[in-house]
Amino acid sequence: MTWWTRLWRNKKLEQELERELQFHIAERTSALKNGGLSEEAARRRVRQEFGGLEQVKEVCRDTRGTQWLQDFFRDVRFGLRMLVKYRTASLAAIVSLGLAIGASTGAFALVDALILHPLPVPYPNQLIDIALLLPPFFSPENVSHEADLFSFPQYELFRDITRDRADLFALRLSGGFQSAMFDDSGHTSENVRTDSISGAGFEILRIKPALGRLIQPRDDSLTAGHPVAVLSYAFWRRRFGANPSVLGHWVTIGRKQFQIIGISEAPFSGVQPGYLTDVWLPLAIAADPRNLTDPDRGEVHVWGRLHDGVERSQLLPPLQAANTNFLHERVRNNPLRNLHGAQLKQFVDSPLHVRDVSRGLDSLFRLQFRRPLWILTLICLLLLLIACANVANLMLARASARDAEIALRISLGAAKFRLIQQMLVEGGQLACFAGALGLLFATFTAPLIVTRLGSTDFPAWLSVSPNYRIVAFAALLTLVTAILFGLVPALRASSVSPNGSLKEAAARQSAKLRSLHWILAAQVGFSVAVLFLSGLLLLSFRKLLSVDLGFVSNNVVLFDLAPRDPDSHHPDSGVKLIDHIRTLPFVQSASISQQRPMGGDFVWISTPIIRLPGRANETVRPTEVPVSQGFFSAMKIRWLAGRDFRPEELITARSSVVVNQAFANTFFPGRNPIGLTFEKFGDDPTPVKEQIIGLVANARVDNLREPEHPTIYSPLHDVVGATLNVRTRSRALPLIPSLRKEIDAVSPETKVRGDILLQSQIDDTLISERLLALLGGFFSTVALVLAGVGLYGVVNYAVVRRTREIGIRIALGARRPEMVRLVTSETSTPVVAGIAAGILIGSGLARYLASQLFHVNATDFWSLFAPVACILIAAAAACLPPVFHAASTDPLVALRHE
Amino acid sequence: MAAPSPKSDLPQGTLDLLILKIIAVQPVHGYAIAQRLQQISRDIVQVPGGSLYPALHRLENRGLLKADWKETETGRDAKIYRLTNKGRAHLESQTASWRRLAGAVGLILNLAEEV
Repeated sequence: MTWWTRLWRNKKLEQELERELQFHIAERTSALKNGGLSEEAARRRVRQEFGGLEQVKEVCRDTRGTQWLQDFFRDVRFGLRMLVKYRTASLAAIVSLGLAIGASTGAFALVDALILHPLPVPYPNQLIDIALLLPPFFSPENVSHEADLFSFPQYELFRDITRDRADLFALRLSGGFQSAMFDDSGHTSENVRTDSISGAGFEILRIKPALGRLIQPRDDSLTAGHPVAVLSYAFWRRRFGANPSVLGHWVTIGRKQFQIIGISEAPFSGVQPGYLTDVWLPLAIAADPRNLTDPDRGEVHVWGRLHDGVERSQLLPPLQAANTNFLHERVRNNPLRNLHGAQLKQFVDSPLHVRDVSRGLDSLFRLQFRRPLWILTLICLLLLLIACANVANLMLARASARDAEIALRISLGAAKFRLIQQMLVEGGQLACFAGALGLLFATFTAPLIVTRLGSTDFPAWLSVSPNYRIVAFAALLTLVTAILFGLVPALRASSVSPNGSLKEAAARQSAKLRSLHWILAAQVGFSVAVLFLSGLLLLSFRKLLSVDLGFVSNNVVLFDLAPRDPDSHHPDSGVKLIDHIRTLPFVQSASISQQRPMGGDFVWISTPIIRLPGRANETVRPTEVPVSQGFFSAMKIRWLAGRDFRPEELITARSSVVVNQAFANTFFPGRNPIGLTFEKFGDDPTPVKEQIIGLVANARVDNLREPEHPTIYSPLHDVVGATLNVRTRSRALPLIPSLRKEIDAVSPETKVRGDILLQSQIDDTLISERLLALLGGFFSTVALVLAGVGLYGVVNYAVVRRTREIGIRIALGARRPEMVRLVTSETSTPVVAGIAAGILIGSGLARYLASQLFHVNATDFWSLFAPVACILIAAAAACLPPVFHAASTDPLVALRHE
Repeated sequence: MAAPSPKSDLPQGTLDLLILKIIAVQPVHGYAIAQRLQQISRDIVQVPGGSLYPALHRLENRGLLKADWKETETGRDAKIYRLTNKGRAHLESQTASWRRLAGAVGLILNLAEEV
């Protein structure tokens, strides 16, 4: 019989044991009776010889090897009874632990989905991409950086030269949405994220179709290809309700039509975690044919899969040689005029990197949220520690209430390890319930957080449905918490000495208080750490909100414009549009800018190199913002000197610019910049001579964090893809529909791709900061409440325990303030120690927050003072009821009570 | 738990060997084993229930014994133990090693008396 059959046939085994032993006793008794003993004497004799029946049974049971498991089941049953008996305390413990585990698990689920999880393809660590480390003079900040976009001919070169070691393919990733028109929807267009991929791409990634087929090499040919499209599984479900009849339908994207031929398998959402690629197109067909042959236009990512057994480093030498030759050739044929000799040489020799992209390509989204999500996880884990301390307190109190029971069991011969096992089982049960609750909580909250991460233009797409890693993380947390809060009471219970259970009560009480104080100090410490970190985030968010924009943001609405027909060109449509909008009675002013003001990370802003007369190229690059006449008055940016653009300057190529104060201070310190000139290098290699006609105050262009950067405002020549800014006389939101109608009426060749209030646009640039501040504030409150409850418990316990002592002291003439000191003095040390430790922990962790903070330091007065003040107030509030109780003790009542 | 009486103070592991030997003669129940041990050893080996039955169950769990329920001559159902092949082999090897050890102990003790 194996041990588990012995376990399952327990009942039968028990019966047989009983029968066997009874047989022995009966036989022996009758033998003795036959020998002449009386029934009574025979029985007594047998009992002496044989031993106690129950003891014999117990030893026999031990031989089965299943005893521990049966004990375990017994402990589980007993533990459940205890949970029900102390149901309020148990519920409080389960809920607080469950929420903390849930919050930590939810935060981890986000971190996992966005950062840790490899792409859902077979052998993701074979995936590589290629990047070029550009020398510092290519960036406005003058630092070297990796560029991972290459021209199509460069890709073909790389692909052919590494054919024996890896399979390469090209990807062209769109920055955002394109408008697409599906043939089932009439003529309404919708926004989809479209990426294109080489014909071999899906095969190399080893992605299978969920339906139909995927793009293949024969589709992706400029001459003989097929205009086909593959939908992602998630998009197919959302847009078409997973209807298989979508195959064969057509979608119009840009000016081309594509036939839907398949759906990619479910887990694959694209190569940039955080974004969902809705539609995949064959690269050669989707691209502008001119771009496929232009060796200078870098617009494809080069990805690939290493052959089995090939290392990344083995790919590098041939690629490096090919790239250097290629760039050498390019520089000779088409020299970059803004670079001089040594720089050209450095550019040609730029080192290539073969990067590991098993976790996908860093999206802006991932870069933006990597740090905030880790911070969130950290704060949640601190919260979990606080909750653990609370539950440990609770368990300790409960364990001491059971001292008598435990002492009795020990004196009856219970083994100590059995008692520890039982305590741990009880703790484990509590933790398991909490873990299950936490997992449930995380499952519901993580997707909610995901929806808050994205903005309207760039919705986030993360799959945070429970998977084995998330469940494993929750299980690990559960185990750790069970050990953290279960072990202390368990060890203490096992040290109960049976004969002293009542006599040594006082001594053990003070031992119990000592362990309570340790736990209290830990709890206060973690709470202060949470308050400190959240405080930094909140203060930083406040600072961001109070940043001087340099313009007035309310009542401004932004409309993204696009030509209805991309081929036609109406250079004057912008001027005509503004002129009309300005005449509307509810409009105060209107203008057009190339980029959306405060577009955040998602708007590309050019930073041209400039050269002042008689000097070399400047290392500081100003930001260039093309705007129409009237932009400054529409945005209410303060004029300092000079004049605005004239309408004719918007159309002619005459180069006049308006600069901001920072520009004047940087390049013309102490001089009036009006009328001065400088040279600017744009896309065109020959510099353009610009004359300064106006000077305005500094205003934020892109986001709130940016320093006051030198900025030039150049006249906007082309309204294609520009933004119309309208300042209304009353609240802007209700006026949007009528404004849209006016735009359609006056400028039929233009269509509005989207609209947003300037204030919402600014809010969108603060998503991660707002999220952290919001959750930080919430978690601080929870931490404060937990710490307060813990403190209340300890002080109250001390007061109740010393009621008699207090009564005697008061009877003997002690004054009441002394009593207050008596009961609070014991807790003040752990609280102070906890605050000190919390500040230390917080300061240690604060440097992980540094990149998120804005004009706030960990050593600022308010950063340190606010959490300490909060915890002291919470401590005072928690101590007040028991202290009041102590001070108002009536000696007569107290003494009679004993 | 149940302390063995001084009379049955057998060296570790010896009880198993004696039980196996008794059962090797013929299949038998627990009570009879206790009786035989006592009779054959002339009352020197007296095994209390707290030692006998755990030993029997341990041997059964190790697969050295097998047990069936049968009616005895007194009309009661008894659990009759018999040796398995594995049990027989175990008995042989244990007996041999016991004999070797006992002989060796005897030699040494004899030597001590002569000195």
